[in-house]
Order: sequence, then structure tokens, then C-alpha cells
Amino acid sequence: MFRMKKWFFCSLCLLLMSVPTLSGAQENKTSIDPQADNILRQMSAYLGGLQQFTLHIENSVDTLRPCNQKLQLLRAVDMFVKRPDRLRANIDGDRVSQELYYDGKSITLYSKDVNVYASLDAPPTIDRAMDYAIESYGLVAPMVDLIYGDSYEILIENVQSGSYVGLSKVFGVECHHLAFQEAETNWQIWIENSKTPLPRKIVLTDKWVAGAPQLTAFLNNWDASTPIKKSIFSFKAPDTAEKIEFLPAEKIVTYDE
Amino acid sequence: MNRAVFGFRLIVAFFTFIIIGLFLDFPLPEMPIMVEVREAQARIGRPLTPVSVGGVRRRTRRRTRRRWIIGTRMYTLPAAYTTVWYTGTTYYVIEGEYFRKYYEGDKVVYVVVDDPKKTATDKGDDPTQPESTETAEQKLLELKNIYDKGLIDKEEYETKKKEILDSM
Repeated sequence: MFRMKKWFFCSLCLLLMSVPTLSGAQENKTSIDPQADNILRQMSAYLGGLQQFTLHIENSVDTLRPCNQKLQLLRAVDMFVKRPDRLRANIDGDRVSQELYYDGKSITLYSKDVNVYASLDAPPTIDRAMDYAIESYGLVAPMVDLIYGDSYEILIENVQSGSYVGLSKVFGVECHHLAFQEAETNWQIWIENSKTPLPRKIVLTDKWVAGAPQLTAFLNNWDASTPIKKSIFSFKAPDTAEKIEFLPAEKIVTYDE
Repeated sequence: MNRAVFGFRLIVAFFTFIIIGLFLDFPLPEMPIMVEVREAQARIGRPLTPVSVGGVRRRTRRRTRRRWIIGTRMYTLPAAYTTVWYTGTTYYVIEGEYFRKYYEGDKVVYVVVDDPKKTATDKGDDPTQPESTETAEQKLLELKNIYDKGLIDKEEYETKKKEILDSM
């Protein structure tokens, strides 16, 4: 009788000890609904296959004030992309008014409100130029994940689980609504249910930040056929504008006072 | 109940607690550290211990330190500043410190820099240039970096490298 109790007690201890390892193993598993995965792949393949496109993005970003009041900052972006080596973005919104240029040789950012600009020598393709700008200078183009030739690879990289929510309408366009979970963020994407599977809406939630701030973006006026003028991609500095430099991304000095 | 069995269980329970504790990282009780401070001797200028007593060390350090260290970044400038132009660059002067605009990603930041006029004269006064080897090394590193990123081809890299090495 005692022996049985002893065994029971020992096995209970072992079970308790193994609980953390068991739960840890479960967290690492990724489970993506094949339907959601498939739709995301289709979108990526279609976007990557476009030789050129223009679109208009309306987005809002939540910012939290110290008193925990949430403010939404609005931003409108006009994007012009011509593969493999041209990009232009006009960013206009609260506290920001900028133009971003990439012409196959250099990336230029011009802030209209402050009247300054800076240029970087960049690699010869959009994908590599974007990588270079992000890694070396922390400069992120708007909706950069969708500009890459293979956006699926980038979007799915840190996803832990994904699901298909259902059909939904975004500005009257019928879309597949997909939801994905990552360790730090959750994101949802609405992809057009037609022969042209374009992304129509994106929502990104910062899970663990108090107040769970979100980024919401509506992607409208997609146009892959009208030719884009060459002059759109070249930057000519206004006479009054001052040239400044980009700070390298790794040298960060925090304000200590 | 048998005393031996009870004792055995007690031992097993104790070790189980320790082992589980190691896994789950229980905080173990720590011995409180006793520090004896005799207040009468904590006088300004004569700290009782090497660490701060009466804030002496902190205060002296603050007196000698600059208001802002070089490289400090600010997103907005304090209200009272004057503007100075020097070799085509705008500097903002606040309490004798020089700020200059840079891009941090896509944000304009104001970074504390050395006095531009002072550094220019310093370099002029010192023809020996003790930093020359360091700058050559930096140039080579930067060149290598540019080459690795595929911005220049092998030929350009080699010629430029030779130029830098010849100038040493």
C-alpha cells in the first residue's frame, strides 16, 4: 500500500517538473490554415508579378499619450512602383509631409515641412535597396512588406498561427479576411476575392503594449496599367532645401538626464 | 503512521520542492545585508563610503558634466534657441551646445554635436593630425562595407583601396 502511494507521489513530482517543458514545446508549433496560406501565396505571386503599379493608402496609427489617452494619427500615401528599380512615395499626414524617391542608384527622402533632404547610395534593385535602407539606416518605406518581389516570405516569416475568417466587404469590394498571430503582434489582411487578388486592408495590433495600439491601412485605387511618367522617380532638390545626413541605424545614444 | 515512512516522505517532499524550485526559479530567501551608517560623519566633501553618501559624488559629477553629451538625440528642440549657419549647415545653439538636424529613419532629429567653429580651428592648429591612421582604417572599413553591399564593383574597390593605402 505504502509502496503504491510512494510511486504515485514520485510520478506526480515528475509530472510537475515536466509541465514547463511540455507547454514550451506547444508554443513553438505553427499552425496555419491551408486556405489562408494559399490565399496569401496567391496575393504575393500576383503582386510580385506586376511590372508596375500605383496605389493610394489611407492609414491610421494609434499613439498613446502618457496619460493613456489614445490618439489616432492619420497618414495618406501615394505609391508608385516600377520593377525592378523605381519607387516613389508621397507621404502626407499628421506631423509628416515627405517624399521618398528611389531611382535605381540612390534613395532620397525629402521632408517638405522641415525643408530638408538626404540621399543614400543604394543597391540596384528595389528588394536590395529596401533591405539596405532598413538594415543600415532604419529607413522603412510605407507598406514595404508588399513591395518586395516575394512578399509571402516576409509576411509569413514570424507567423505562429493563421486562420481564414470569412468573406467581407472593404469599400464594396468582396475580400477574404485572414488573421495571423505572431509573438509580438497580430495582423489581419483583407485580400480581394477575384482574379486580381490585391490586398485591400491591413490591420496590425501590438499585442503586449498597454492599450494595444493598432495600425489600420486601406489600400485603394490600385492601378497596374496606366504608364507612370519617368520624371516621377527623379528628385530635384528645391533651392531653399538643406541637405542633411542619415544617422546609421546601429549608433543609438539614448537621452540620459 | 510509521515514523520512518513519514520522515522519508518529508525528505522526498523537501528535495522535490528544491528541484521544482530550481526549474521554476522560486525566489529563495536572502540574508538581509546590514549596513551601518553613522550619520554624524556623512559630511559634504567627506563621504563615509566610496559610494554616494549625502549625494556628494553625484553632485560633483553633475557639476563637471556637460548639459547634453555629444550624440544625444532630441525630437523637438527646447523653446529658446538661436540659429547659426556654418558652411552651409544650420546649427541650433542652446545653452552653448550645438544641435544639428539628421534623419533617424524617416524622422528628423536634432543631434548634439561639437562646436563646428571650434573643431575647424582645432584641426587647423594641429598639422600633425594624430588621427590619420585611424581615419585610413575607417576609410578602408567603410570601403569594404560599400563593396560588400554591392554598391561598387571589384575593380573600383581595388583602385580606391590602393589610393587609401598610398595616402598613408
